[in-house]
Amino acid sequence: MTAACYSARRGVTFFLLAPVLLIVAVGYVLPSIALVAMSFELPFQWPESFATFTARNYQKLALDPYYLKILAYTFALGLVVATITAVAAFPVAIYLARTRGRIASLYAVLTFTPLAVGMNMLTLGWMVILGRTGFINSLLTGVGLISDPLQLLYGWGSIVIGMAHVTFTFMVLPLEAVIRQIDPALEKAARMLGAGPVRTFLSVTLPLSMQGVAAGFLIVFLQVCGAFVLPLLLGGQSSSTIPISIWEQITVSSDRPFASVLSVVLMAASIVVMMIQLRVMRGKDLV
Amino acid sequence: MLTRRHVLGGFGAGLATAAWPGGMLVRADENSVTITSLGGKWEQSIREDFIPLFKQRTGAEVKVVLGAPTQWTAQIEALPGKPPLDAVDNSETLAIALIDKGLVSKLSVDKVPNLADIPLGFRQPFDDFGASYQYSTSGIFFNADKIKSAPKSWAEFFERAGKGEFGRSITLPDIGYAWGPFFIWHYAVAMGGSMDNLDPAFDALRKIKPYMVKFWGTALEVERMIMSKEVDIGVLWDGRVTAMMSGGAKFLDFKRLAPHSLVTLSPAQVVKGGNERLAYEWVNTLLDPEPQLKYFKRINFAPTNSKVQIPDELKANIMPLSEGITPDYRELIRATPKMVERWNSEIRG
Repeated sequence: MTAACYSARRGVTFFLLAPVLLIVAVGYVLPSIALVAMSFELPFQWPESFATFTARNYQKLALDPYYLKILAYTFALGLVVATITAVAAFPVAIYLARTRGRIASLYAVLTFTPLAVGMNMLTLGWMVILGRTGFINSLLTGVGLISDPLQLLYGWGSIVIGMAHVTFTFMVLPLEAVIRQIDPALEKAARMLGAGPVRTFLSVTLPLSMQGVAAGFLIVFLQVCGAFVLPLLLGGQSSSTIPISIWEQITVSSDRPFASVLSVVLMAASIVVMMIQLRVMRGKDLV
Repeated sequence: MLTRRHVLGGFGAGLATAAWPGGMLVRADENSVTITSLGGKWEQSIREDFIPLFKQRTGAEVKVVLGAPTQWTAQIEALPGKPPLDAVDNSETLAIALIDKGLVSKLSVDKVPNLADIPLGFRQPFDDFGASYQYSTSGIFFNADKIKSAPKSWAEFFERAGKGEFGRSITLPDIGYAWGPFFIWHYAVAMGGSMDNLDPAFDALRKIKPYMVKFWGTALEVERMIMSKEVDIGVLWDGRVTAMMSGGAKFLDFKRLAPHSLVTLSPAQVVKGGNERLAYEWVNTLLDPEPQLKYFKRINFAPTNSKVQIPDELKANIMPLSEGITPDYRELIRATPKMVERWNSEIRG
């Protein structure tokens, strides 16, 4: 290949990539730079703005136990929901990957309904189910198991249930794709060599599907950490998260620099989690 | 030949265009005005009660930007002098923020003739850099089937609620609600405190915390909790409750408590650098008695024009402004960050 030909080919590649690069730059890089600038109270007006530089908002975050608790709660919520969905999604993913027929198709459709319905509608649905006059309380009081309705809404429990439901599909999809690539003969061989179903799963299926688990875990974790509407509506006074705190800092305190600090921390944590996952996955095919 | 340099050059030019203030801004043409509205029935009223009169008077087009005051204020602040909005329907504290930053224009009777019929209480808090076209007052809603003897004062409400008399069925505005700090200030003042002494409010809130179903963050959220009977008693604006009552919630009742109710205003403002000529006309339309009456009948938030003829059957729904109380908005803005910190440690902690 001549140098001119090679150069033209690179030009075409850049030309094809340009729309994506432009979208990423305008929609993500520029706002991110503005966000970081605002977190240091820089007005984003080059170059005279450095006089206002301060790190006091980061100091406030580091020294305030309330916000440290919120950070810990948010990331813990992400881990708990991702773990629950991973455990719940495995049987479904195995079934979908290994089964054909009408029932499997129906099951697949049911699994994907959360994507079609959307997070807000699912949140409202859980409010109806878990409410004081909702389905579960009506059932329990109806059969005489309880006399007063249980407080099922407005706590960490209701947030975990809601988020696990909303993000379930995002765990099933990568898992199912990975499990589909596993040769069933490997599992059969393990069984023929005397391993039971549990040992076969733990020794063969699970290790070979870890890339799917990691991908699903990452997607679910990031979705949960960034969720706003569902924790706001299903949570209570002691179950605030970073996105809710960001919203409060903007709408109530009008403290955009501190809201930016919270956003930067959330963004940085997401990037760190992604980098860890990429490092774990390095050199391996995703499916 | 297309090279990487060409592509990167074009890419950079695109970025520069996007970053340049106003570079991607599409300005409204001379015969249209861009205004704001909340969604749902609020938008319906703006489109059906106000816009037809505005069009009839000016022949101009109206572009409605749906959202909330926080979003609109941020948009105006982002492009000072070249705002994407010509007139804004704001919250009190955000209106003050725009005034203090010099981003809105002063209203006057020669540009907004209906301003002459707006009592000073709806204009003075904003030094005529905004005028409220509606107002609402706070009080308690309650399930009248369960609560036969409603409290008469704020002190009585908090005392009975703190003793568990209403059970775990209470809801109050959260600090995250845009008017949350207004309510905390008001509880304090109603029970002997002040902007610098919020102890009465926080003491009362701590006592009733075990009986709270939830502190509500949005008005839609509390409306849902009321209609699904998850809560029996709580604090809300009169217009929201009377709208639910007239909409068929027979179990529901509303009461304003002594010594006074908190009043919330909705200042309409003209944004500097926009189409100010039509923006003044739009604010004048918002302050007009005819659409204000239609708006009141639809939304239940009280009109501010003194010439509005309220039907006799609806007069009881309106509390005169003089019986209510509003905070000093600048003082409230100053006190809010500390209020949020205290809420986080004492109520959420």
